[in-house]
Amino acid sequence: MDRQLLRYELRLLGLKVILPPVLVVLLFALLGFILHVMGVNVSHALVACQEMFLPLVVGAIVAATSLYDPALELQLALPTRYQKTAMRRFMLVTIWACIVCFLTNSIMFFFQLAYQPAQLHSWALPMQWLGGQLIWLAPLLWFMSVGFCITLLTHSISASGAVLGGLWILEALFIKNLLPTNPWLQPLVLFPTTLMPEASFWLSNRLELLVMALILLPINWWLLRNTESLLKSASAE
Amino acid sequence: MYKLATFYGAWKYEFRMQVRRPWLWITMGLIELIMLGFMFRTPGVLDLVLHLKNAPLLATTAYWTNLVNYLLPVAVAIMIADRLPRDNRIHVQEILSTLPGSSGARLFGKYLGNTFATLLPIVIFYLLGILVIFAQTLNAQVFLLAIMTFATIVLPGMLFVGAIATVVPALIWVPVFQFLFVGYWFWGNLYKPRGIPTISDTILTPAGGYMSRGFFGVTVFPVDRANAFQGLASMVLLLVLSVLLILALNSYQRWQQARQ
Amino acid sequence: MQIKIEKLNKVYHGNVHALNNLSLEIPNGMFGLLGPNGAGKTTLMRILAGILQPTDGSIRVGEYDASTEHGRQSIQNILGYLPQELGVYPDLSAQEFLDYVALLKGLRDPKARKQRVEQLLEMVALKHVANRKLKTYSGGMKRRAGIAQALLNDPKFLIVDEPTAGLDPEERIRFRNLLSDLAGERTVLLSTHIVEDIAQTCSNIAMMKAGQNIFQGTVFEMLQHTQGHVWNITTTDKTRPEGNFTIVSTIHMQNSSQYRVVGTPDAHYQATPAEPGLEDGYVWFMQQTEQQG
Repeated sequence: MDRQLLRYELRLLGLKVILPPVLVVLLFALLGFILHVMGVNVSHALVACQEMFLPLVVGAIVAATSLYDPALELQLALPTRYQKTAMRRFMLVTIWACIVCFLTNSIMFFFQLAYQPAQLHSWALPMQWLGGQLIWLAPLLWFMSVGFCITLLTHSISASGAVLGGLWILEALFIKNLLPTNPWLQPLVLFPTTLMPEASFWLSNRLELLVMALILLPINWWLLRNTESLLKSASAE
Repeated sequence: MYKLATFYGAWKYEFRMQVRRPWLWITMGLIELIMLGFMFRTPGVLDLVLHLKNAPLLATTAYWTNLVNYLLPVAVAIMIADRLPRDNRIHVQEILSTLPGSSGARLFGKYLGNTFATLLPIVIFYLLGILVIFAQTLNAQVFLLAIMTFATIVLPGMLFVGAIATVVPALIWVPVFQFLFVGYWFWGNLYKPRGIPTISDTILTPAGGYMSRGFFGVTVFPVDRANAFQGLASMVLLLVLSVLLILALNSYQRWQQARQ
Repeated sequence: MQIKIEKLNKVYHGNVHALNNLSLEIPNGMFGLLGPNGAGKTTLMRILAGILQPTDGSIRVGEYDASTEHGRQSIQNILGYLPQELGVYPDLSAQEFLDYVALLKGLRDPKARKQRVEQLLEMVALKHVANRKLKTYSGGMKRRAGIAQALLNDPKFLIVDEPTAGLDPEERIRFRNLLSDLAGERTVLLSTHIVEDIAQTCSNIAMMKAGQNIFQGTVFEMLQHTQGHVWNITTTDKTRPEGNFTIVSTIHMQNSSQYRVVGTPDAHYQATPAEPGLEDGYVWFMQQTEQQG
């Protein structure tokens, strides 16, 4: 892949894509500091930062950047398919979000600022660190893929934002109470580390979310082929 | 008189534009379905619905109104948030700013037109719930109570949410607003975390907990105690803040225009 | 490069027929496509550019079949496209914008790419502002940057959709001359509803209305068809002449008014025949298709 092309894509994504995840981390760092001064245990808030908040913000960003290109009509007439360009941008956002999340998680791990899910406690320390990356990786990729998919299906960043936001709140508040009577919901629990770190299904849940996200990737690729719908969505809303 | 005509023109246009968006209806419908799914999967809820006949009518109606106001304001805010940036994107704002008539009246028309149009699918969903209560209780008083609870619990909060969703995206990128609003709704309305400061239990909360607890004695929101005076204070505060927010946006837009 | 379109149809969602059995042959050189708004010109351009797929019918661009995925991809390799509304990336300079598009057009060699970009910036007279961000450009400058991007891959087939809309007269003339110069080596399809642009640049034209081809031929043939249907009417009272014709211009003088009309005026107007221009021809053909229903 041409490095110059990647550089251009990064510039086109711009600060509005690069800054929000960093700001979320900084905001939580500040909150953590204030809570620490107040004598409150900060580990819960810091785990929520990487498992709940970073995936949501990146999901909303991906949903917005996947569809809107000021030169969309020109892009669609170029020999390099827009499908490829959109996926390249998706990958760049993914890589950036992963860097931010990985660093956040690693800092928390090495300074013992956050807790690990119970299923990882018996693992060796380096493995705990590596396995602990699933705290953010699974919901991050899930939110990104689902957000991307809803936007492509609906041609509306508002629709994807509203659905993602609604799911996020329902998951945060109700999923824990639903699980005892609805165990089939286990693969759909998005924030088990924050809400139920003792869960016995933590690892399988993480892998299931990752599989869902990966399954959506070729679906999104296929949806991007519909140039007529892309063009329509640029003028819709 | 001229201001009123400008207001009405903007209101009608924005209302029609928003209400015609198919994804407004589909998204709201989808979220309402997910919400119902979560509700009915919660142990005991189905039983409760089937035995509404024995429950006090006022409390039942107020609870249903609370539930409608639990999650749907998030969807309302997100569906309104892209309206003003859209005007800029398709350069309508430039045309509008050259029209005669008060820019403030136009902005208020835009804000209220959008908010009421976005509320329409919620009103329909709400009425369906009220019809279920009526079918269970066969007490026509429920309709009067529905109007009262909706007007006091849902409406002031929704108007505030509509004002925030109109104003804030004028300053920040829409996806960032979406994220911030979801976080705000969770932190500032639904959640009362241990140790972390929150506005969930202050009269600033637009979820309607103070009005519900103060006027009707029940609420699902984290407001343990409230009297009618506090409920009224919360209502007035939310409405005043909404007006102030729109006025501030109007001043900001005029300042921006003068700078160009 | 020859382009052959046969029985092309495009039906949008909601049963909107944008193209109705359109057949057209576009020879090498400059070719003008005229038609009112909503005639289906942009849809045709987008189909030719591989952005939209036709509902049915066939298109051949040179040796390639545009109804297949492979054919569309091959056409895009030899295509330059300037859309009606060219969106640009506001924070890139013209040089960066062209470099980025060149990369997407497959120009991988950095040295050759740089050379090509500079050459085109020179050609469209933007070299002196090449490092300025596109958001600071005027409409005409953006259009020139747009034509430069279309030429990056030295296309054999160039599509320009309403290129002069919104440009001042000087910019329009400059743009027209640029397009004429380009046509020597390639097929240039110029779509517009500004008759003047076609008159100054194209010898071959087609006219579209309601998704159909209502005329194809040379400008001379079009004028021949219009001969005998253009008249001057002079009136001394203030009333506008009315009848089976369209008034294309009005000049009010001190004691009389002179009207140029296209159609068949009644004998009592004592109309005198006039030499038709391209605009008269356009009006005549539109009038004819309207009367035919």
